Amino acid sequence: MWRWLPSLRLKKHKQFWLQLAAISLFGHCVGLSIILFRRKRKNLHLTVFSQPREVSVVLLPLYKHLSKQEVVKAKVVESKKPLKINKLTKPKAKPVATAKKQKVIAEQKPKVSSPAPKLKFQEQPEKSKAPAKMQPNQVVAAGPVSAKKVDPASKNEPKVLALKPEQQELKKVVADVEKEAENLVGRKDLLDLQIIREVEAAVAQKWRPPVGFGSDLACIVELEIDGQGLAKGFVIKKSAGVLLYDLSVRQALPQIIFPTSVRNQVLTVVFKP
Amino acid sequence: MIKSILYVVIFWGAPVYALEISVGAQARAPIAVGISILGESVHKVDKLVNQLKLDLEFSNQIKIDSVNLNAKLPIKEHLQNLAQKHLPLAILFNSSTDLPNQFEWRLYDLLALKMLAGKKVSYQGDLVLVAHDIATQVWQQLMGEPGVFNSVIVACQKQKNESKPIQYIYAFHPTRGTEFKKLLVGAPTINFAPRWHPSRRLLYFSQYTPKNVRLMSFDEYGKQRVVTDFSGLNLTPTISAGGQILVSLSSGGCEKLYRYDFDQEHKSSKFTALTDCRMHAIAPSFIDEERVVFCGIDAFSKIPRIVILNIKQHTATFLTGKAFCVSPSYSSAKDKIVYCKKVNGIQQLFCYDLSAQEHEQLTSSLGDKDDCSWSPCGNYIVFTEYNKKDSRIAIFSWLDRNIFYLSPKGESWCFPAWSPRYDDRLFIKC
Repeated sequence: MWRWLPSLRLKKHKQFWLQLAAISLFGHCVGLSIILFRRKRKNLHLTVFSQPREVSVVLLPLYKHLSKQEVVKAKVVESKKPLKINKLTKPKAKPVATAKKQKVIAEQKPKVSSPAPKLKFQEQPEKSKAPAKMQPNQVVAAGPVSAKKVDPASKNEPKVLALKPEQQELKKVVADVEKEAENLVGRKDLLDLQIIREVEAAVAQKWRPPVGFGSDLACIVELEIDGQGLAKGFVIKKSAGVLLYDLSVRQALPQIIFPTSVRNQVLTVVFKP
Repeated sequence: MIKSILYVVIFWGAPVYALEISVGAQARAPIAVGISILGESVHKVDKLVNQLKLDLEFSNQIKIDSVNLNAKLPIKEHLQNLAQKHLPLAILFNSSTDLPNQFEWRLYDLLALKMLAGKKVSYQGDLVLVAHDIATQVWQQLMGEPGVFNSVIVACQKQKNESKPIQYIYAFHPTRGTEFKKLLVGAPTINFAPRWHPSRRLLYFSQYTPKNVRLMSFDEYGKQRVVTDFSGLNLTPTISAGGQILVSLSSGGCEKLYRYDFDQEHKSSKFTALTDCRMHAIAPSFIDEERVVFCGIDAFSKIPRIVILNIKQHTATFLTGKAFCVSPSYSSAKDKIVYCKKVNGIQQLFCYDLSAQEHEQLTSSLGDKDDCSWSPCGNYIVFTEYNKKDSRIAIFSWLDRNIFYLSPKGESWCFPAWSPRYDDRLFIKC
């Protein structure tokens, strides 16, 4: 290995220092490469909505998301100067529906059997789900369900009842809030977002799970994508626990053509209903 | 040497990124399943296949894509043929067994080309019942839960062309509808409001007599017995998982909820009133051992509302505001209460989530909805839809939020009640 060393015609102690430097350099290279290899990129955890949403994105090149670990590592230096705090009065939230006072009616003696207990009446304020979810029901079948034919009467779409004024107002407020919401992202996030959108579009073309699965189900699949954008191989890392759901994923995977941004890569896709 | 080391360092050290992307589904489609019958079908397997198709397609999650009768290829080749048609699942029937009333069925995962389940079946009598059994086993494999194929629905039908009003109680299968109904109670009077016992094979119902409306029971041997025969109305019993019994009784124009206890010392029945005459209480349904949901008409608002009664704390909490709400029913599978509420003059199905404490409107179509009852799995709600000329039994599916009908137009059906267990088909055989 050191045959070339005498050809330099150096003194022995210089040869020794050169050997030491070469070994040290090699050691550093190996060490650094190990560190680089071990240091994996953080997995992306982004939720993609099943319904298309209008979300405005503002690019801030120096914006960076901090993970919990990074936040913990970072030292918090407390400034010696006391902060000026402007007194802000907390606006009182108006209750949606005012709960009525409990009415306690005097006990009456029962007529028929053993004494009835003192029954207190309470009113519970009615809290309803967002009206945006309310959809007209599709009437599927007439007569026995076996027929599965469309009801002649239901050919005319069932009349959708108008929303109450307060529901309409709430819907408007929700829409406004969603419109105003801006997502601040950095360059890296924007790139990841682009990849996710491309992958989602590719997956959505081929993956159609059956109806009726809860949002808590998830099938996690690790994919190896080749240069053609096809899944070269896949491993189900975590099954959804429902065979029919896993089957829908397994059936779709060989048909999906993944975008160029993820080709020749290992990708973990979480399939959510 | 150095070169090779450098190569190793450069290529081995290059990081391999692993992206993790969460993808939501944007479209839905049922999973296609193929059915094949190997060998000559000496049995009436077509009847079985038809019923199996109805059962498996009931939820709209599975679609029977192709049915191959008399497939004669070797099983392996046949499966490969099906797999080439992009079918992920197949059910194979092999009727070429030695015994005449025997066949074998197998469920195959065609993507992995492996058998998931299979059984030899010997049968006597109706193949429809065998089909329900197979559907239950297939469903258990695919969904990890029993299907509703071995449960039944009971409902009342008003009889036409009778001089006096007569209402019989029938039982029918959820996938077959009222076309294949079985008469349970045919007493020539008004029989109504059937309620199931949660653990024993008993069906309760109320029956009009000249002096009162009495509470009756119907057991698995077809015997009918009088349960309560007090003056006035004896209606809608509810039984908790722990065995508490509540019944709605009326006397003097006031309907109250009573708890039934059997006094071991005096060997006598004891009825304790839980509500009083400030509120009419009907249609109770146990939530747990402490709470009961019922329809109450209090003296102040004078409209029916949904109320939760806490038996231990003696409190009655109104769940709904001053709107017309009737027919509550609780599902332990979903931890939800379904009820009917009048919206713009039409009764619609609503649901109250006990954990989230939120109300949700489920339907918005025409026709008054009433008499709600949950399926044992909690995925379906059976109810009556009242129209001008008729009343029909319909099912609301939580899975795709659609409504489908079990009874035809022009008939008068009411008070459907879905059996709370998965094996009641054996009790009634329909």
